[in-house]
Amino acid sequence: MLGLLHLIAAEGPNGRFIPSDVKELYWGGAAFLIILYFIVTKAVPLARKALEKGQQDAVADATAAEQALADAQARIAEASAELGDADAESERIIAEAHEAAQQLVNDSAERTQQLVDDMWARAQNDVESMKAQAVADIQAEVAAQAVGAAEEVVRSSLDASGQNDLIESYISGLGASS
Amino acid sequence: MSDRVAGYAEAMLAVARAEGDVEAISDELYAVGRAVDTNDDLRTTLSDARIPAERRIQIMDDLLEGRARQATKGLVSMVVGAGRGGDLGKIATALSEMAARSQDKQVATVRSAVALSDDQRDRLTAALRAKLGTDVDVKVIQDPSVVGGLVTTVGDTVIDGSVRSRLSRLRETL
Repeated sequence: MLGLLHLIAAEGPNGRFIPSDVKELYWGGAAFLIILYFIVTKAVPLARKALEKGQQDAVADATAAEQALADAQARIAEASAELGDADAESERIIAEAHEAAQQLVNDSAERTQQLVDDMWARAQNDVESMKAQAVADIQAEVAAQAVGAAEEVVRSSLDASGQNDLIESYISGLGASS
Repeated sequence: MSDRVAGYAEAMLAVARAEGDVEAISDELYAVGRAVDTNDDLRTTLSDARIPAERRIQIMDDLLEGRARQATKGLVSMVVGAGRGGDLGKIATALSEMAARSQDKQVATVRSAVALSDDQRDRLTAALRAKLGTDVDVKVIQDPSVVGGLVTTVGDTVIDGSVRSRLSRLRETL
């Protein structure tokens, strides 16, 4: 090595290949070695540690990412399952709603029919009642007219003799029934 | 029967006894009472405090002129003058019942379309006595609505032999 340096230095303007004193070359080499020593003994381990830590961190990150991915997939699966359950539940609710609506329609139809039947029965009863009342009214009116006419005839035909006969008949009737 | 009606009836019965003609006065008062009961205008007039008592008494005097004894007119005037003309029917009925009870009799109210002769009244009284088993004091009321025949009421018992009731039965039958 030194031989090579000497050779290079021998080709400089000063008869050597290096512009300065060869001692600088010595000192520079020593400094280089010292620096190299510190690099090898201090910096390299630190760099290795940093690299290892980076690797560990990367591995940890990768693991965490894998875990997150697994969790995410699990949540997706769970959500899918829940979504499936929700779909089933919604279908069940819709089915029940349809059933309830149909029942409501059926009940409403039955009630409407019952209402119509009741109204019809009441109407028939009312008609019968009105007919009976009308007949009764007519009979009462006819009776009133007939009795009124009979009273007029009796009044006009009841003279003093007739009145006396009625009174005598009453008194005789009391005596006969006693 | 209220105490007031009973009080007036007792007082008037005492007057009739004092006059010695309870039956006739009782009959006349009963007829007057029936007239007041069946005539709303007359009853309202006799009860109207805005009409002077003298005017109300004069109305009754005019109605009874020649139809009732002086004692009867005096008793009617007393009741009307006291402002109790509207109660004449109740008072006369109470008086008749008191007079009948004092003789162990019951009042028999007989409604007829025409007046009864004395003979008919006597025979009717005898027939009612025989039928009911008790003496009766017959009060005859002329009521055209009877049409013909008689309707007798003794207490709660009604013996209806009127043409009116026969017409009513005919109406029900029809």
